[in-house]
Amino acid sequence: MDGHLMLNALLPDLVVVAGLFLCLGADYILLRGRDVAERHRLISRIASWTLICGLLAGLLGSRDPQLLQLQIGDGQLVITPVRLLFKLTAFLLALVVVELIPTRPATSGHVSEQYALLLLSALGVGFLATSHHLLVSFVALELLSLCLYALTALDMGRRAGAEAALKYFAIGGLSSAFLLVGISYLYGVTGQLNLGKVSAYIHTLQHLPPLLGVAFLFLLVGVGFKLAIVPFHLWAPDVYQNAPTAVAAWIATGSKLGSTVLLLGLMLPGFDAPNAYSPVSRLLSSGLAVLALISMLVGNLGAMRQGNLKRLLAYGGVASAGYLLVGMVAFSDASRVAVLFYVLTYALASMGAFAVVALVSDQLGRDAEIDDFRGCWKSMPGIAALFLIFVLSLASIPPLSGFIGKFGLFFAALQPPPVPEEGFGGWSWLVAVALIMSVVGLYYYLKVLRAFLVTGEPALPPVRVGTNAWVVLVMLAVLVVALGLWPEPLLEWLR
Amino acid sequence: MPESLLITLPWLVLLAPLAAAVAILLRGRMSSASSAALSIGGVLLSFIGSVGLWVACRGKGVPEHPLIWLQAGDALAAGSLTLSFGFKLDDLSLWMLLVVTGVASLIHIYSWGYMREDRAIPRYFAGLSLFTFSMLGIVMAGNLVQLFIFWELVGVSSYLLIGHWFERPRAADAAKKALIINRVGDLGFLIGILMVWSITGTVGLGALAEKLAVNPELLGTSATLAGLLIFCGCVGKSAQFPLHVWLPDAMEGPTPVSALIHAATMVAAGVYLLCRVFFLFTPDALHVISWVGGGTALLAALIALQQDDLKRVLAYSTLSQLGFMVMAVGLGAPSAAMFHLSTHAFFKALLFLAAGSVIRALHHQQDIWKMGGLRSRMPVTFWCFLIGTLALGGLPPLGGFFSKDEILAHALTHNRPLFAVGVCVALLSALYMFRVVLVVFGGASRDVAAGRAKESPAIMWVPMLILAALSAGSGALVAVDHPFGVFPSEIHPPRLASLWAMLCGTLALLLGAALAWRFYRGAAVDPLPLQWGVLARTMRQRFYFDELYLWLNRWSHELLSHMSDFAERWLIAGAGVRGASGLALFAGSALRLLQSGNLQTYALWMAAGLLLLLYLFL
Repeated sequence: MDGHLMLNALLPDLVVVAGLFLCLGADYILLRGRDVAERHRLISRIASWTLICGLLAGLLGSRDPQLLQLQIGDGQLVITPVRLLFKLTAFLLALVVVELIPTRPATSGHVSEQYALLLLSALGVGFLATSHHLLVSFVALELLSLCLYALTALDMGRRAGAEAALKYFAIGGLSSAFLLVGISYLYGVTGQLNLGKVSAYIHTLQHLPPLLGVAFLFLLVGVGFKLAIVPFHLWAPDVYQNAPTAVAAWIATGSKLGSTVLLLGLMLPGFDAPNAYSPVSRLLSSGLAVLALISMLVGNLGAMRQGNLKRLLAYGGVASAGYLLVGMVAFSDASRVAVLFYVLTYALASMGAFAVVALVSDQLGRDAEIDDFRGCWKSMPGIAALFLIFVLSLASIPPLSGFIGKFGLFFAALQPPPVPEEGFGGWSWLVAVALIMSVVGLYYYLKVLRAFLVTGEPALPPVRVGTNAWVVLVMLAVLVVALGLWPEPLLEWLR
Repeated sequence: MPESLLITLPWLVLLAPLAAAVAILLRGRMSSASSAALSIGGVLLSFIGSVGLWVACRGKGVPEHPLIWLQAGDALAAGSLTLSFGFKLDDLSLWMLLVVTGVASLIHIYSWGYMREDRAIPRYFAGLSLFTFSMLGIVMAGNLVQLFIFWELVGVSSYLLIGHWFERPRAADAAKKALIINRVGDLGFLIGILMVWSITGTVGLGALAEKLAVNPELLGTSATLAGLLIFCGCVGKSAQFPLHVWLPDAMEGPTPVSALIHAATMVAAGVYLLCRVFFLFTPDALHVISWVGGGTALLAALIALQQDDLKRVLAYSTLSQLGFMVMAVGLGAPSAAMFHLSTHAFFKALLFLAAGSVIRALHHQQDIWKMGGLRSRMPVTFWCFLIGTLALGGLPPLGGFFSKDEILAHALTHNRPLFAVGVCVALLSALYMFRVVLVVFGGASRDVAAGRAKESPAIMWVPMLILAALSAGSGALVAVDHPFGVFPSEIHPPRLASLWAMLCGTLALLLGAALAWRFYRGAAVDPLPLQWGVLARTMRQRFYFDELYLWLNRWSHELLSHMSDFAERWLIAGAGVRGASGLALFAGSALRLLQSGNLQTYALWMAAGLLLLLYLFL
């Protein structure tokens, strides 16, 4: 193994680790006893520059063709164009989150800890995206999850936040246990931890042993928790509502990106090699279809009745996990591309929507009730226009990227597989339900927009939004629009 | 021209107006002058690019470099979908680009003079630039889906521009009417595209033409139906009978908009579409198309004869001329249709601009009976309007003469009854246009404002003069060899038919002018209602089409409302609402039960989920 190459491959992560210590060190040593707002200003600057440097290091690495097909060890670190893209997107989203962390927390004295935990969880997502090895994926997922538990509870002035964190932690622990048990069963059956080799081994089997089914089942429960798939979603509304909004945004997007890569790795072990189908797909598809169905139903119907915007977005996230599974059930190349594209665009739009909520309601110390946003169009036209883009993309209105994403998922589910014995196509009933549920989704997203754009006098005074926040918001909006207007370059990259 | 320039230049032509529109919109409070400058600059850039493309690539076509826009599904599997974004630039579209950008440039410049006192000039110019962008998108589109997207964008920008003075209820209504009626046609168009797509598996214009050339029976029995469905799009956008009612109302928009969109370019897009997909039409479909066109031409000419609003006369005249072009396509003469489209774009834009000049001078008075005697007060406008009228009437050797007579010659060879219709339309056109000339510019002024009218500023009459020159000189196109490209199935009429057509056309013009002279010379009121009675009244009331549609609409609403009342009372309220609301409430409560906030319950549900999966898996 070329040490230089490996260093290059890990450079973004090393940069982030260095930045992490810099954040903590600067806060503990240099800024002791300083004003909280000042500490926030300085530390957030360090954190954002760290992430920018990490991004640049990653982009620089992406120009090295040798690096883009790197496989270290037994799949512990795999770098492909798609995986690198996911890692860098996670860093980008973390960069947005840095701008969203409120600079005037009412009570909490923790400053650098928030940024450090954020950077650490970004590392977790990055490793999740670049690993094809079950143990490394598990460790990365735990790294991510532990940071998220802590971040949820960090606003110690709020009892609800602590309660949500505790629930999140308990259920999360349970699901980790499932994941670990699943991994050990899988190892027991196949003797492998590299997902590619697991798949190759399964291909040689004449009959699938029942234990294999149990193993995948447990793995699915573990990942299903992270993705908030029904019935493992119950934590989501509580946590989204009661965590600081910036953290909720990160849970809804960064965590989702990483878990999706893990789910794809489990379900389509040929993640890095097109046209590789897993024999377990026959075993899994009906179960996935049912999960997709109930996730769409519970997510969309649940969202209809919500008065709180963050809760509504949480249920919307549950529904989106359902759509994602609709694309997954075809077990084809098309579904892999569609799922990746969808989760990327969903993360961008969702981050944008949460960012607007964070900027508007957290600054004013409100609880993000939909009514609070009445007449936002009049008091903050720019913010409202950006929010319009994000929410319309979430509601998958053409020509925004959300529409292309969902179109790809449904198309993949409908298309008959190239080799009839492998993979499953023609899920027309599932797509029909998904289309009906999309209409329901339109209803509640438009309800939110109506509050923003149409009704009455502004309920909240205008909020001052900093330049940095504007920059990241506009960047997200441009991405959401551009990926809808011309999706092919990204799709090509993902293939 | 180097290869790389040929790839980038079409993008420049397409995107320059869009860039102008976006720049104006993003800079919220831009001054009127800079927004106008941006918009005019954008369209001029497009025009220059189009000229360059035309000069470099006429007869050869620009090589296509389609970009893949979206590819869904496994490329290997059946039923995958690839949509691309590319330009099809052959002689037909290159010429159309020239017409569109040329006329649009002149009208952009004229607008700056006409709209000077308007309060929302940036919005106006942003709309105009957006329209130009969308129209160029239609012209350059490489496949039907792309064409349809720009087709809809054109509809939207037309809506915005008709409703520019949205505070006037009539303008807002007209904008809505245009949008809705166009939707009807577009629905047919969309179904037609989907039909062609599902049968042939491609939407690319080039690929489609090739496939049909190899196998003419490819579309099978649905060929006629598919062609007619695509023709629906043209019926909507080019305002053919029975969807013609929106165009006259669209005259509520500013006059330059009427000139650009509702006379010269957008409404001609329907005719352009017919020429573009001419290879799709079967003889049966062409027969229907020719009669729809001929019928519209005659009907609209009759209505135009009894309108009192200056712009409405021109609007019905546009309808009539568009009908003429559609008829030409139906007769199997797309190049004649394109020829007439081009000359019409010049002289009708000229007529509208001259009319705008009159209307502005008279402080937005549009009733021709309150004008009069303007010949001496507005000489430039008068001469421009007269040239436009003569070009429309087909006086040799002005532009309209050659294009109209080519269509008549085709009618004479292929379809005698339509030839008779065509000559009648020519006569009526001369009659209604000279009626306007005599009433507006001749005689004595019949209103105070008309007595004090002054000639418009140079920024308005210079574009008019250029258009007048183009109207007069565009007949020279007849000397160019196939300026609009070669349509393989087109048969040229024999020389004798052309001579007869010229003779009849010119006689019709002279007769029409003489009749107008007799009826309207020095007239202070319209003599026709007295002499013609019911016929004149019916023409004045536009053959009661609006009333008919209103009645139809109301009647179908009644029927629908009765039906839905029944459904509501017995089906929905009975079973549906109570059932659904009960179910939703139940689901909500169940969900809330689920969301108890109790940790043990959550874990229990997870376990239940696990059991469910276990059942499904094993």
